[in-house]
Amino acid sequence: MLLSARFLNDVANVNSFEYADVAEFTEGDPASIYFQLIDASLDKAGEGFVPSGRRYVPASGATLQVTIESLDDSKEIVRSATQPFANDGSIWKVDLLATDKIRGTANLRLKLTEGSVVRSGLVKSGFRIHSLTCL
Amino acid sequence: MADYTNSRKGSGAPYPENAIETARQQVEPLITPDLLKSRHLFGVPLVSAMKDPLTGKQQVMTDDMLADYIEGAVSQAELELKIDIFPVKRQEKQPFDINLYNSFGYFQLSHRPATSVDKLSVTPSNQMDVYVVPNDWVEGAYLHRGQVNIVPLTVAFVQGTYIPQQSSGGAAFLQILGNKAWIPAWWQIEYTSGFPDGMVPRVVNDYVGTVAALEVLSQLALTYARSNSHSLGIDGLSQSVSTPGPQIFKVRMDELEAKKLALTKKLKAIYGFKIFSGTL
Repeated sequence: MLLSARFLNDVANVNSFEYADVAEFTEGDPASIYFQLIDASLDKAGEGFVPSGRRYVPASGATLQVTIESLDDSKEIVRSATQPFANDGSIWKVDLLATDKIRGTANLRLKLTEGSVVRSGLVKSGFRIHSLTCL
Repeated sequence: MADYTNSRKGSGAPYPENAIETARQQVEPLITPDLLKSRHLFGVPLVSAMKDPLTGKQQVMTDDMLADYIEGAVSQAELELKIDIFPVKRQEKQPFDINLYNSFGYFQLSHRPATSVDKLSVTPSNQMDVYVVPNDWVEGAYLHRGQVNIVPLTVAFVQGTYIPQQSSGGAAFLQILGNKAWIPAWWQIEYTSGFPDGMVPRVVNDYVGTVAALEVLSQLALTYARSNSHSLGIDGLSQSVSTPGPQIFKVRMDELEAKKLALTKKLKAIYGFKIFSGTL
């Protein structure tokens, strides 16, 4: 099991969404980021799977803490993700606020707690947050 | 991860160097697989020419694979350009050198572009700070090129306490160093290098994209290696076909190599080490 996630765009329900390579928005915009948990050790790209990784539905009652990483403590975001659809536990959502200071390129770190089992995951450079200014 | 509340920042942005305002966007997040395709691989079918003998299907180079090539290209770019692209907090030891010290505590950091000095101290090997230089005395005007100076000509406040310019508690401490010419690993500098927040100059993104595109084209070209000419003859009729085979992307790859070389020189001129001299 290698916990990871793939981003989703244009999410309407569990059957209507598009896969995205990264989560992109502009600094200072409120944004709801949807993603699907996957087991990256299965269904790899080299085996012809597009997108790669097998959808992972955690156990009922699981909690997910996400960290959008920054070297600067004042910009790093640590937040609990929620499951927006009761009938697909693999899809999670995290809301970003206009007051969040994160920008640029950032990793998404996952901490999934299922009962006594805690799993960690990473989506490298998953966020591309465009600058509000030219610098 | 790190607290930058009391850090001494560089003067302006690292790119455009020292800029404090600009009307043109010149930095952006790291290149994405979609941008890699549109900027560097336009029109190139990202599909293997050979079929997988097990499935009978051509293999597709997916966005996940491209993202992995981009990550690899970032590491390669950091090594080749000798810069940090993403922010890294570093702790570096520097010797006490009387000549450099008399030049307002001249330090040359080993990683660039430096964006902040977070702590400058005299710290022996037991890692207990003997003296922490007030950040008000740390000059960061040339920080992006890795230069730091101690300029104790202004008043400094440390934890709300006034530190006079010349007194036993402040710069006077530094004056006692005049008795020694050279002391190894005397200074300890904590600083951050790399482009802030991973907002990468467009030209660096072009470099990363060029490196990634070269890897992609090299991999794809290999799948054309099976046969580059064939002929068919029946009685008096014949037909022959020649293809470039594994040389199929050679023109584009040569162009990318030339572009990479040119960008390497330009970027090294801004941030890299071209000439280094010391007093020893």
